[in-house]
Amino acid sequence: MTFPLLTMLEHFTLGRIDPEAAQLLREIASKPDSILFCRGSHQPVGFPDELTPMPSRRHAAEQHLYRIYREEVGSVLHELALRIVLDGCAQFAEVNCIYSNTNDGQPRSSAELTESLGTFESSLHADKEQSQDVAAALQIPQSDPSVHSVLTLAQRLVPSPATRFTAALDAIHRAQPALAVRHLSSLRMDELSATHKFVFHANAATALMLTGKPQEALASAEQAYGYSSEPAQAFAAFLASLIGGATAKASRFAELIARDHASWSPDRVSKSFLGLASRAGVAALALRQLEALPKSVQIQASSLMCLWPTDTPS
Amino acid sequence: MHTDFAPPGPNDPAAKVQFLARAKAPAASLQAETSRVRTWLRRASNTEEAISWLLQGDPLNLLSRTADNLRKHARILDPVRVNRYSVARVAFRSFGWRGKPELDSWLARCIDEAIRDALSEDEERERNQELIDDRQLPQYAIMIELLGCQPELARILMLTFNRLPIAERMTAHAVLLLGHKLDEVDLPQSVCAQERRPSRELFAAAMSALEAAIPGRIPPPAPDEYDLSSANDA
Repeated sequence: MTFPLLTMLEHFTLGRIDPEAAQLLREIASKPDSILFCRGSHQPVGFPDELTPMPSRRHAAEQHLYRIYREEVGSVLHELALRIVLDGCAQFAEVNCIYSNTNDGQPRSSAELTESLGTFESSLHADKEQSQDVAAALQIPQSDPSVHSVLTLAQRLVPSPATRFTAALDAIHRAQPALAVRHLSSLRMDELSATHKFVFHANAATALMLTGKPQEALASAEQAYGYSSEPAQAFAAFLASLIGGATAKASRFAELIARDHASWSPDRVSKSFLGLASRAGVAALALRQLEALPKSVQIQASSLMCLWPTDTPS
Repeated sequence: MHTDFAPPGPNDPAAKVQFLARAKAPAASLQAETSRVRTWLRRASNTEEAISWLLQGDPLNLLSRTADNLRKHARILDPVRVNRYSVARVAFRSFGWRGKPELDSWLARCIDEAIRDALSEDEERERNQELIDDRQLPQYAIMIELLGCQPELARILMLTFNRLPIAERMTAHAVLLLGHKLDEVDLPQSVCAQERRPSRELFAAAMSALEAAIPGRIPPPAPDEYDLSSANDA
């Protein structure tokens, strides 16, 4: 059987390349530091003549199958842990709502996730012996569904920034913001996608706010807002500004919230604000700071938060 | 239900050969084919057995479907490697598949996942700055041949190519791999609708991006990446 790459390459002869394109390639090749076309044309890499033999192909496919199992089970475990965290802190979840939607936009219930694990288990059968990590992981949610144990397994199966984010979220929820900051500090920014950078800053803002570092929290909240202009981020930045006494910034973010509030219900904002502020033990401070803002901003912001009716005259 | 087309048991080689021959024949309808393949896959008692069946004679034409997918989306990846991953994806998904979506769409989805697997695996290897060993070299050989680069740069160049904006990638693919003339590059309508640059500019931009590739520095996914299946079908 012909190796498919050869079939793909059979059209690739220098003579067939468009002269204009070939000229560009020649210019690139003539640059002394070019990494392209610097290899002699008579240095064949050596394509195999035939497809990989059957046993080797089966082995490669099976190896990949275990990788899929690890990733899928790891991702379901991670999702399960996240679901447990979010179910346990409904108010707080609002600030992080985007995080639960990063997979397919449809967060699944804990029951659905457990069912997914059951499906994996039923298809695993003989593979179990060769994939003990996965088999062991499938048993854990039933016997010990604590976020920590589920996350530890998820991290072992698929080490990813996402599991550390969730661990940070769990730590915040369990009133251990310092631990959350440690989890977040262990992440390398260069391995994060734009979405994850946004989630990083959003979570860091919360954790820093709760550890009494409003200035750092504000910086993170502003970074998060730079990645996503979701009202939730403007809100986090607004709260951090309030607590940190940065009233001009608080005004700016209050205006942004007001501008975008059509997509975010006042009830939702209110719950998030009160949940976050009271968890941080700064509700009174936040409300005092709010009073220091210009009246128009106060009304705009506070009406959004349902602190008093939206139709209050100025 | 096609009871006359029951899949063979694992210890019935003659029946298996007959089954594979019929599975490769043009199907009376996609629905019937879907039903047959599903019945067949369900006979496998576990995913390993499903893999064995899928590899023996390639009854679902996964290799050519994979090569078609790569060509259609202007991806440069080793089709044999992606095919192995496709086989694993099909085996993995077969236990949850209830016949919806129908066979062609379902297989296309599995192949898309296999392509993502290959790209993310390369990304991981590149991030960890793993050396390309002799075993892996054939996976990147096409890049070495195509761009005349040193073997150690082939992986980052492949990642860079596959993450080029779609119009640049399709143009470079057409010129370099298919031997099309710049004036004759025919991009799908949905791509043209979002791209004003002439093909020579697109080609130059693609080559500049490749030339600027740096080992370990993984380019972000192309901002305008979208599903081309509808574009190409149009």
